[in-house]
Amino acid sequence: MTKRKSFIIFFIFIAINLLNCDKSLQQDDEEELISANSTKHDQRIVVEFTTSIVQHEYIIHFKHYYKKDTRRNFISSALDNPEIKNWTIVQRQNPASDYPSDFDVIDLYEKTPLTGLELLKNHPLIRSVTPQRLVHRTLKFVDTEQEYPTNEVVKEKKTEEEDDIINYISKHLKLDPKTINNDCCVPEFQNFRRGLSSSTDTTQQQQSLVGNSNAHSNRRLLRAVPRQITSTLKADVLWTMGITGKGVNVAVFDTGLSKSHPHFKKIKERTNWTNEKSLNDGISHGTFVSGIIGSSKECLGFAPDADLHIYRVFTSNQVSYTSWFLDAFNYAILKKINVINLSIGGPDFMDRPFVDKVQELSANKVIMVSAIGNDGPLYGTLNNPGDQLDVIGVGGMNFEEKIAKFSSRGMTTWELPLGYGRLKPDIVTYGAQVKGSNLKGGCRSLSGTSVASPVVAGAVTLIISGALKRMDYINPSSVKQALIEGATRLNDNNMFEQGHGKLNILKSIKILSEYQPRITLSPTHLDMTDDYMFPYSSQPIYYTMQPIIVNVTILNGISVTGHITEAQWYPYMNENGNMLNVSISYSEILWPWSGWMSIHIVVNEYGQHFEAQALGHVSVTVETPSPKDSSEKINSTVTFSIRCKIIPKPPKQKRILWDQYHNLRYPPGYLPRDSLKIKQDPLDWRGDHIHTNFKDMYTHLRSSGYYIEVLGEPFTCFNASNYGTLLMVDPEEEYFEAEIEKLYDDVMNKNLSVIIFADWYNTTVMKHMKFYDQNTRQWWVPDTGGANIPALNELLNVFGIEFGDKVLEGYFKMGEHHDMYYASGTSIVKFPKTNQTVLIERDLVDQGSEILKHPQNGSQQKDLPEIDLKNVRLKYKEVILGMLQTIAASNGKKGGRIAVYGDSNCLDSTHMEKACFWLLDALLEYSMTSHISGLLKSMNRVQYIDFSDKTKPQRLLHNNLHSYSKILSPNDRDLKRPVQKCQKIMWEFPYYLNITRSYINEADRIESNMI
Amino acid sequence: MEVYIKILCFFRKRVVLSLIFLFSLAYFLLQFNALQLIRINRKYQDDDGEFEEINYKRDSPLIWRSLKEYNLTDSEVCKNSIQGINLIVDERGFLCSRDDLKSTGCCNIQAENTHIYYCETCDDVSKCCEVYEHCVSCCLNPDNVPLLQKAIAQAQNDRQKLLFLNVLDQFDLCLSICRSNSQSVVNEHFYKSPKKHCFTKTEPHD
Repeated sequence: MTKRKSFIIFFIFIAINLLNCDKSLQQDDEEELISANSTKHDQRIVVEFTTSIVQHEYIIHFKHYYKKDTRRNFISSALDNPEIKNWTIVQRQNPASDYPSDFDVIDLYEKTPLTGLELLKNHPLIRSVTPQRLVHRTLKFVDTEQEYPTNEVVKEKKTEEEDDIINYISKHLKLDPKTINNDCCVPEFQNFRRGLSSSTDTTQQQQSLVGNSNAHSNRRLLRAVPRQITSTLKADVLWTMGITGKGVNVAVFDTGLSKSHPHFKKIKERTNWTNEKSLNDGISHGTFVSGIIGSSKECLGFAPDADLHIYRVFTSNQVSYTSWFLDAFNYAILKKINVINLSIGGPDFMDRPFVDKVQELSANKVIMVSAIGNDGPLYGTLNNPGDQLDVIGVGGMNFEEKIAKFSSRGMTTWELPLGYGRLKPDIVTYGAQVKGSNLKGGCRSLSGTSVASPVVAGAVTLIISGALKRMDYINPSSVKQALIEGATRLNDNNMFEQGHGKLNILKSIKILSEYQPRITLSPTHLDMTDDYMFPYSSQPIYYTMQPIIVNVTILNGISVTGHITEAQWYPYMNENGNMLNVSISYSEILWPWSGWMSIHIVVNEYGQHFEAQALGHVSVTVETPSPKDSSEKINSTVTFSIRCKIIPKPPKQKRILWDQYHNLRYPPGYLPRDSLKIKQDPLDWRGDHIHTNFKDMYTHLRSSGYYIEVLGEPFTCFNASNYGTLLMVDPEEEYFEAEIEKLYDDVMNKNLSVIIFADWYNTTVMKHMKFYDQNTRQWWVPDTGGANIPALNELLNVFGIEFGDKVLEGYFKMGEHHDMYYASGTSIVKFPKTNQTVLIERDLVDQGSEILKHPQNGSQQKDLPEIDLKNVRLKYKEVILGMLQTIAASNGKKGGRIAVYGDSNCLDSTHMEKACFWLLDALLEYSMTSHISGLLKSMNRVQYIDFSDKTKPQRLLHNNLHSYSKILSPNDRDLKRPVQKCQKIMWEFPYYLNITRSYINEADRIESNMI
Repeated sequence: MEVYIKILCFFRKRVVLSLIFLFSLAYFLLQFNALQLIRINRKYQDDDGEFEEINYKRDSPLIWRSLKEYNLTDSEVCKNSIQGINLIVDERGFLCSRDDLKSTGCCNIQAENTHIYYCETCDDVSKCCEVYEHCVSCCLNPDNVPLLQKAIAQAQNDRQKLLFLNVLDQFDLCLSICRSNSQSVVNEHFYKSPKKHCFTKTEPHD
């Protein structure tokens, strides 16, 4: 059995910030002020509604939905009577006013007899005319101890947007207007342990906050009262309509929940899937998450009347196994659960049984909502199962409407090295300092995507309960479509951080209430001129560039299965569409409810001298069985528009090729961390891509004017004459013989330069890092070191360069200004000494032998006693940097340049202590132009360095790299496969369209209004 | 008075007594069998150290396929396995391609590729199949009822028992028992075998 194992399968997303309820929301001084002197009294809020008829205002209800102008025409034609002059349509300034609506409010002044009203009522397209009502919703704080005369805190007219949506939804969901009772369903507030201690305090507070007591300060004060997350997201608007989650089965897979918790009305069932004999929550994670979904007291949940199913799948020690999940998931399918919240996740997307099971649930129409992970702000940190096509992956944002720092982001890494990652998270919502139920009652604030996930799960439950009559249309994709189409885009974050934007419950329920099954795409289009589309927007494309790839998720709201029958490329003739070559590949089958399409784009020779925008679109036809009768087929066509920025080909001195092919990440194997000091994060799992953990380096290089392309194939598959430098950072993979030969040829004859940032490799340290993984019940030994030094030495052997087997660490300076940290790196033990060679050495600690001195400790390594060692740590002079101008032995001709540095930590944003982008700049200057910077020259010690008695590492015996390597034979770790063939991209036939930009903009506008 | 004595005597006759006994025994056995002997009786310790007792038991007897008449005409409405990429099993045990699924949810039994009790990728001995839908179709064969009853009676842990307690009929049971579960994996991350859909009792697992 192979040992490609994971570390801890699932982390519960324990919140980052545990705050006492009374001191929550520290960012908000106002709130803190109030809470500081308000904890003494228990208070409760009474919500009252009063309505009154507004004189002269009438609601005109049309029979169908019409645009604004059409409605105006109807009304004016109905009132086409000389006696009626005094009428105006009340303007509604809200986002919904762009959409077709079925009502208008008019001001109509007339004396009896009301001829105008009669005329309106008689119009064939007007359903009814009713007087406008003013609704007052009053929140009152009542001191439960003293029962003061209630003091009115907030008098708020419902916003018109809410009114619009209420009207719309109630019509579409065919709710009986009588059931739209304004106060029937507002959950009870009891023992509201927060707020204002007395009425006099209230007034003072109000004045001090607003400064002007005469000002209309209600809103201000409302904000000052810590709001319920449910009202921030306007779930309470739906409650007033009787939509409260009733009739929906929602399951929480977490740490359990106590039966008698005071916040919950409807715990339908609690089951235990762990080996502990308990159904209760021992660590409060499960209680909090359940509370966000279904609490009906104090800190409110979104769907207080939903049927809560509590699945205890984590022990109080946060232990869980895939097998527990499998059984629990099977039970959830049997119990016909509608929505599952998974505030869990881990980096192992190769846990086949688990991933398959999640898909199986989706296929059974169970809507899976999962946290995207708390590993931000680093890119490439998405967690499974939130990163799956069929799962709604939820990221977290703060109350400043920005993505929270902790929220995982960036593309998926499943597709590397040849492909490109998917867009995730799907959607974001509040996940920082959100109030929820505490273990035994009462509230607390927590942060984490664990919090954001149940917000969406609760909202989904609520939305579905409003659309129970349309249950046939509810499936994982239609719900995801409603969420992402309704989402509001945040201004400051790109698509790999925020997905489609912030959850908007009212818009999403509106979309779902009028939902017609359809196919949509995520992302919906590619626009390289839009900053939201980072990293696509960060670098234009040019002739001879490696293809850029867009990984598009296909959401199929029609049927659980389907397939693509046709995919075509339509370049726009008048918009330089002919300059693009496009290739479309896609998953054979769209299942469950989803699939993928990958679009490769390059600039062809028509575009090689132009700076231009090129436009076109891809059109995909999907065939699905009809939901009513599977023998019937439905064909749906969906388009993906493309707008590319094209520039003329940059000179090769500006072009860097990033080697992705030789970077490996966990899973599938135990690839250890690059910095051995960091113990809580043992794995190298973020993909090592310029758009994941090397994104900061990428951004730096772009701002320095370089163009960076990604090579997802062997070295045999690129044309070296296009590039100035091949950049290899922390490579773990082996090399084909053909690659080694090709690279030598490229350097010597095509003037290609190579920059390598290596990492540590020491077999004794690797063996020492072995540990017993509780989750997989197996011993784990790393398959390589930080980088694969033996393989790199084979690659560089022809140039006379070798790295050693020491693991080195230390702080030092380079020049006066550059503080450096060497976090577990290797050293150079062999390097040609020519008169142009630069070699730099520094004093470093032998971290490897320190680690070995420390006893091995079962499953976890103890912290090194760093403070003690700091004073006595011996340092050794080691060569860390080498720069070489290659010269052909035969004719003395100069080839490319090679620069090597022993550690990659200073480029990798993972646990980076000190960045060394300046060094990369200096090395690139050398590799591109052969100019050696004065600083590096001044540190050159080439003539003093002696390489005798240095050792280079051998490969770790019995390692399992071959079981997932692309280069080694799977059956024999000492044998290499025949070199991998280069991919041959088949470009689509261009179907030219005669479309100009003005038309496109118009179409875009219409399209965006259609939502 | 004589009437009462006669009735009393009638009930004291051995034949009558033994009839009553046999009837009761038969009823008991039937119920016993139907309940499959499984129930879960667990005490869970509360946060406050108090024990909370939870009883799970079956509400109504499991409906086995042999007890329910299925005519093979096309008139009825069927439950089916919903999830498949291309294959679907209906509750009668017919396996068909999605294209041959009718609007009633039943497989079109006239279709060329529709089979009943189809065990193509299943192992005769282990009763484990590669394809989920094959497992369900195969499992629905009434001949398998004793085997399934045995599997239920020998359910190893609470997680399995809970599942079995909640299935309504043999179709539900086959849908559930065939799913990959805690017994299908090794080292938590790998399937033990490509034949991961089984309808017999399997090894215990914590």
